[in-house]
Amino acid sequence: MAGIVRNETDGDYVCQSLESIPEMKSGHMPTEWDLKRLYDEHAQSLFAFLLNFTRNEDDTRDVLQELFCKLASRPELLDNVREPRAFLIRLCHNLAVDLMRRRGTRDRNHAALAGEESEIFAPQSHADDPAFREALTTALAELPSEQRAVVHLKLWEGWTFEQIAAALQIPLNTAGSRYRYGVDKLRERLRPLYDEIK
Amino acid sequence: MDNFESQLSSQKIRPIPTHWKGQILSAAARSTPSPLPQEAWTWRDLLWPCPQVWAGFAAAWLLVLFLNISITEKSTPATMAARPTPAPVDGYAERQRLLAEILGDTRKPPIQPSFVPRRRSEAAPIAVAV
Repeated sequence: MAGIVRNETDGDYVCQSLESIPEMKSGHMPTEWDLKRLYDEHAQSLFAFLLNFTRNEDDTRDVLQELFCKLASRPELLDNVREPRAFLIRLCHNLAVDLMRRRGTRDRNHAALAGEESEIFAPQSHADDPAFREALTTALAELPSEQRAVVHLKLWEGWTFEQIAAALQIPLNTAGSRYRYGVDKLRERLRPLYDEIK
Repeated sequence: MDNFESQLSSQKIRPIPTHWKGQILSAAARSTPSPLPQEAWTWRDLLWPCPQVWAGFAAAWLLVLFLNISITEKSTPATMAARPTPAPVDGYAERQRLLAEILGDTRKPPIQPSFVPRRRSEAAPIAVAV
């Protein structure tokens, strides 16, 4: 069994044996406190990724809840995990793909879904932002979900292609090409608005 | 990362709804398996449900053991050797005598020696061709 702790020297999260954490003696299940800590540290990033990937707030909550239920029922999943954020993003991605497969028609009906998309971006103070945000939300919705996942992790998580490839379990070149295609489509779609606000 | 990509990444994604935390964590808490009892296992755990049945099994087993020992003692090699050899029942000698009487043969019919088992150590060696 293991818990997630922050390495004080480099700030990285590492998995630590539960025996070395005072409140978690060997043989004990992870406490609610562990889940709370996981939630506090990672839920916002997972929420952003899932909301961008699924384009639906209900699905995002379902996947997030399924993820935490899975971690609660199978704490051994976190054994030897060195980068919990990447691991959790991978789990979320797999759960979201499963959910989308179960629901089947969602990916095939992008146009029909456009009307029921959840708001992704937070309001900001700039005057030009609402139009740009709206256009960006629509443009992102037009990307295939796998390109959207790579674009999100690169732009909003700041990950390297190596990290993205490892988390999504795809080849490095695939991660790079998905990002390039995705950003090119966004650039083309948003060029008029971007030129205005530049 | 060029200016366009920087412009994209500067868009802030809205925060996670605050009320989700309680809902998700309470659902996760319900999924947590209850810890297994850590008490040491005792014979009582096994025998407690119906001790009379186990006592009956033990008595039956002792009875079987007693009978097994008593039968084994009766069939030792010494007792086997002391038993009288049963008389031949094939009637071969009787038939030979009747035949001699009918044929008027006054010679005594050959008496077949009764089979007496010999010890293995007294048996003639058997040559085996390989």
